[in-house]
Amino acid sequence: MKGFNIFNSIRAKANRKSDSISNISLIRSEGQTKVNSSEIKTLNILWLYPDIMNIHGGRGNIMGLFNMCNYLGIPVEIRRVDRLEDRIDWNWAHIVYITAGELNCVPSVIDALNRQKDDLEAFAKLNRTLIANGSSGAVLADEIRYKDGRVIKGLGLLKMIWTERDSVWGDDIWVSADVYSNEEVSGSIEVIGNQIQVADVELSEGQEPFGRLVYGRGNNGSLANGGSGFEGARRKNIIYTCVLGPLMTKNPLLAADLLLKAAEREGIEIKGVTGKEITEIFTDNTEGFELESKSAECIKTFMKEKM
Amino acid sequence: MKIRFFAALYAAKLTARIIDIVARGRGTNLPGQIALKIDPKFVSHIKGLDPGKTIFVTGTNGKSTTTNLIAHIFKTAGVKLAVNLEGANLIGGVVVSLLKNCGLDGRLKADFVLMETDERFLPIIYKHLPAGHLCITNIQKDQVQRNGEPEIIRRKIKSILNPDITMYVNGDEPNALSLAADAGKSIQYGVERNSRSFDKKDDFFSVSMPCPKCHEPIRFETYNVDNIGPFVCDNCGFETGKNKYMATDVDFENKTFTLDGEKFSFAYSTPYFLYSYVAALTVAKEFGISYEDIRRAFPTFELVGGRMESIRIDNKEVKYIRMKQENPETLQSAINVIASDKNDKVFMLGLGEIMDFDPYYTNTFYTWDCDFRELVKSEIEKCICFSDKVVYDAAIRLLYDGMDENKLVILPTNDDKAIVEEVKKCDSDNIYLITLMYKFESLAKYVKQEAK
Repeated sequence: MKGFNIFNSIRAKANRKSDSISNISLIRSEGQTKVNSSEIKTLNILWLYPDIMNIHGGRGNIMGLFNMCNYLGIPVEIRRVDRLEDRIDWNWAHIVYITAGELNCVPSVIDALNRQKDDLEAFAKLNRTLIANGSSGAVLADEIRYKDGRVIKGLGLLKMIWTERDSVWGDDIWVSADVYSNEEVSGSIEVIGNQIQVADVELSEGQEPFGRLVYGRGNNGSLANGGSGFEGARRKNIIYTCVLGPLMTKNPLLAADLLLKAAEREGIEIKGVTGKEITEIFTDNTEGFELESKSAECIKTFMKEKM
Repeated sequence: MKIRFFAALYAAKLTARIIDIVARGRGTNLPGQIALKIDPKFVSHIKGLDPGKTIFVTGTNGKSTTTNLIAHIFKTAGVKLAVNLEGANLIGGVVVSLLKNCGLDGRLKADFVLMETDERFLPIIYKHLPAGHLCITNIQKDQVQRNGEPEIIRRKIKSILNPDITMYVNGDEPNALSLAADAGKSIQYGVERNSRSFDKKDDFFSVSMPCPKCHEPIRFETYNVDNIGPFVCDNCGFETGKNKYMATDVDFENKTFTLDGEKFSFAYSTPYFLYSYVAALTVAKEFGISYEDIRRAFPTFELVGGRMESIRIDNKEVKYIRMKQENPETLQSAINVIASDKNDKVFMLGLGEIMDFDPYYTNTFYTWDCDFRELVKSEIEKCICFSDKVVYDAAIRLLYDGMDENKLVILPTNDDKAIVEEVKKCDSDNIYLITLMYKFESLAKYVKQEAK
């Protein structure tokens, strides 16, 4: 089992230049045409519109995924797509991430993605991963209803309707979400973070949530407060969650789950840790992710006091 | 109507007097609330109010400093002001400041009205007190638990703008500048690239911001403060304002800058404060205050509450660098101050749960909008993280930016004694502390008591 020290040393590499880490590439959008010179097949992560969807420390999610790839030994290439007019190489991407952005910018992102809708649908049919968190999740919705009366059609990838709230709701959040499974491990994990909710989210009939609330407001309130008790939405590998933190640094198991499933799906060889170690990550996380585990325990205790 | 107004005036004045005796120096909204309860149109009934002589200062960061600076300049020049210096920037506080400057005949006794106004409550305040002049410092990520996103604040401010308003706006801040066309007249100010300016063009993880007009990325030619600096949107051409007032030749070492050929000294030499100085200078000059009076006022200006203070623990000076919680731009500014000291040092980071509004919560995600790498590289001997709820999150953030885990001390406590004892163990006497104001005050109080 890899220990806390190793994970820390890997973490520190996140901001180094790409050439210091083997089989790791970080490429900004102007470099999208660059061909990976390595023969090794990489997991390809696309970070959509980081300058535009730029709030709530969202970039930490990409740092978190990058580090977890290092930790798990998954060769990875991460590219940014910066401008709305840039052509997205959907065929190249295995994971597409839209970090938290302003609800105000959502229509522009929807317009940009609608211009490439055929490619996007082909991407979704391959069961590849598309994740948006915070208000960026509205991009994936059927419809967004703004306070000023505008009603905007979303991409419709998740059956949900967003309605802008009169006031902002901010709090901690604790969610139970279904994640990784193999022969030895299956079930749900806890996802911990914060929530800044500027819209209420209603899931349409048949739309599965990302998880169920243990504490917090989630989509539209807990069961005890008359809400659905749901958090986020998920259809296969298309995910919306409101959890901020950043989500992928505070919840290493979720990051690992996302990456391992994608690597498995794309036939990417994982050299860093053995299958046994991966199982251990999910069954006994306190050693490998000591700081993250302690953080979660602190904040869960605080949330229990608030219940 | 008159009876109601005077009843409100006298009741509120009496309440304010009692509060002054009982809790002198504490800003309060109560007398204002009483006045409005008795006479909901209290403000409009005050004689002598003139929108042309009424200035509001709003924005997410720096409005208290800017308001206080403008007030200091005006007073130095012998101008009498009605001003809310205590930071009581909601409608109640504004009313209190007005009634304190009203005679018993209900007439304003000041030459000008200057009010710091909470950006979210600006529309309500403006409804009571229409101002002809509005200074906007910036519209950035701030207090997300109530503000959510910068656009929510931008919309609030935009809602009051009309052709009768003259706006004084930071021309280097895209969100604020984007409102210029909504005012009757816009006067812009800015700061030239200087020794504290920074770039982040080659960094894969760095992010800019969306253009408030077309939503494509804003490109900063340089950053004077995070997300403030000369900029352009390559898509729609929106760019830095035509800054009528521009600070040039900024010398942070000697604490001087030049504007319009005149040299000014400034006491609080951080990039953030520099924008407040230039904003205040802009407003003052446009209101006819001479450069000579402004130059005379700057060196004698002192911040209310302090931005940089220190406490002594044994023979060690712990320099406190204040930040505004949940506000990445002010945290980045604090980080940059510490990073600019290349001597051996100890860095203390005490983030806490956010206790501004109910429910309290454990937000630390704003730290991920900041870059600690220059600080991490700046001869850190030891880094002490403390907090009972978010210490691990703070430590993780620093590790991600390359902090050597062997230098990292994690104290999962808010206990002042434990924190002070850890400071005493440090070899270095060059110690910097970033924490929330309430925690600094608690530590300072403990150290003072311990010394007795």
